[in-house]
Amino acid sequence: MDTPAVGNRRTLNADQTDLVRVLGMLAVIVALAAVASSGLLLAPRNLTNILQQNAVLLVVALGQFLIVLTGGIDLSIGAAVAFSSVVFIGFLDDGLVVAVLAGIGSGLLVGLTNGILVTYARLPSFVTTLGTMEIVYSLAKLTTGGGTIQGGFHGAPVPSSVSNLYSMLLLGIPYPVLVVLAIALLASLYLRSSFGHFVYAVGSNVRAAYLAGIRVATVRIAAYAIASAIAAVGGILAASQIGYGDPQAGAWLPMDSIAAVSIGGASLTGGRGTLGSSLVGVLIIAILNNAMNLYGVPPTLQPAIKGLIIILAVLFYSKRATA
Amino acid sequence: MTTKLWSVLARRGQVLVLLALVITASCFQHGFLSRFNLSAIAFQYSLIGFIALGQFLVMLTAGIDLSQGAIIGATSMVAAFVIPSLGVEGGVGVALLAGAAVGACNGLLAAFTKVPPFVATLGMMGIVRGIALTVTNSRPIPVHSVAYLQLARARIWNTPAVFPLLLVSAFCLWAFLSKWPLGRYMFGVGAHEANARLSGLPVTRVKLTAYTLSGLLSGLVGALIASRLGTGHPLSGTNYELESIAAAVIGGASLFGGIGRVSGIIAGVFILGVINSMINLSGASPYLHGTLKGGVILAAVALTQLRPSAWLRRRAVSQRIA
Repeated sequence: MDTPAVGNRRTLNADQTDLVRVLGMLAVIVALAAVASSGLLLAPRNLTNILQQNAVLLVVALGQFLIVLTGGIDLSIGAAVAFSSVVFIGFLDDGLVVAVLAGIGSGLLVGLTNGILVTYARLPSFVTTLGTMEIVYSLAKLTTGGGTIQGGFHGAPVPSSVSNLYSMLLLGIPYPVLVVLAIALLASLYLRSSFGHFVYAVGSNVRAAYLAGIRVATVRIAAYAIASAIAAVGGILAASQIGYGDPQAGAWLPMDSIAAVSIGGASLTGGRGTLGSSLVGVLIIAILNNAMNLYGVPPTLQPAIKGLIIILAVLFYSKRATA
Repeated sequence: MTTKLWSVLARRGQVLVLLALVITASCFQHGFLSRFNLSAIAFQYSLIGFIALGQFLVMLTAGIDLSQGAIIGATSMVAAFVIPSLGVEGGVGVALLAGAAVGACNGLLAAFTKVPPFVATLGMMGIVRGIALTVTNSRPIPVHSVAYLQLARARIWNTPAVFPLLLVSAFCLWAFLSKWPLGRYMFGVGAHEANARLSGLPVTRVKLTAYTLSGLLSGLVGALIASRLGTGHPLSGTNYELESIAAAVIGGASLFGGIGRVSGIIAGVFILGVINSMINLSGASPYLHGTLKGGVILAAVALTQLRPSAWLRRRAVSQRIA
């Protein structure tokens, strides 16, 4: 709900307040982490490192954000990453363009399945995507025969352009970061279109949206399809990062992306949140991970600290007027 | 007559599906009825059954508990750690208490803050798992007490003792939910929290009870797993929460709260159990198991989401219009 401006005074609307809050949290985390790592965190090399290493999570969180906006949750998003990484590497025989299209297409397929099940079979998104997660992981394993896939189905090796892409720079910016920015741009254009506004409407009140003449089914299915297609791009990034396709990749992605989106202030009941805040949410998790490594926190203790920060961060929002 | 049949089907759908599955499996799946196989299902899915009951309670209040698996790992370790000093009863008791304590933390977060249960219990999962891993240095703790190892192997009437224990727990839960005021309030709070609050229902107490019981039951499973495996491992129970959520939803509970019955949940658990066993016995490639299992979860949930009575009503109306 926007607070109406009183007189001439300009007030921030709820989304802007969320952005200010999440940026504040980011500032606090960065400050603490910079002190704890005695400045190492802020070294330019380390900052690009953080972005590069979390490109997949950043991409996936964009997809998850779309689903959360519709009031759903996507647990199959990690499986979509694994499947598309496998399909991408497998189709390298037919050239890079075909491989990229096949990878994204495989994600699109997963998303369409989710969307159709959620919309027409009226299954809750949590169990739907739990089921498709199992199925897609198993399809990925069937495709590779269980292990990783090191080259095309007909034996084409992974070209060096793919394996080098991850560390290549364009205008001083690493390629994966450019991909993240491009997808963020496309996603925000989508959300600014009238069709994208419908996503907010469907997420906050399905019935009202339906009565207003919005094609709820189309909006939902499109959201699921786009989210998984975005995740598939993450899968291609992951494959180029490690140089092969891993049918078991991304098991932690659904939970981390949901946590990031929640830290960014998006409501899990749908209809509320902004793309920018969600990306900042991912950055908070990314910097936290990086700082804990720099500070030498034992890897076993890291989930505990991360869990605590997630709860505290979301607790921070609970004070806002409209929950 | 048909309407009555449909309403019975709608209410007892899970039990009927389970019966059909058991009959199919007994007829067509060689080895399904072997004592070994039945015991394995009864043991493994009784464990899932305990946490599915806990998950059901939490889901009744329109919440979700993602920390169950982490609690199982931590309490299996706690049990293994205290057995040398406190004995068998002490081990089980401390595991139950530890589980209930974590559950109560979840309950406090759910009752007093606006943090969504999904995020709160997700964070708690990380905290519990992280602490368990750090304290043990990610190493399992062996259990040497023979009496404790016997606990999970105990048999009553030739079945693993945990199975009748699950049935007794389910009966107690049913009695609690249908006869005890606090149990009745669970449905009210889950169906419409604001209304429940305005009607003076003890919303806070209901939520605390649900999450604490879920933690307690997870602690029980942790203690049983420590006994079964002979070690307390901080990573045991990984992804059990997803299994319990699937079982509860197949059993007819709603993720949006206020709906479900205990008999359905128990049937849902063993539907998963029988199907899992059929997949294992079928000799399909292990890489195919996920596809089969995921497909079955989707199909089972789709079946339970069907509301035949609503469909019949709609058909009757459309016929009248035509």
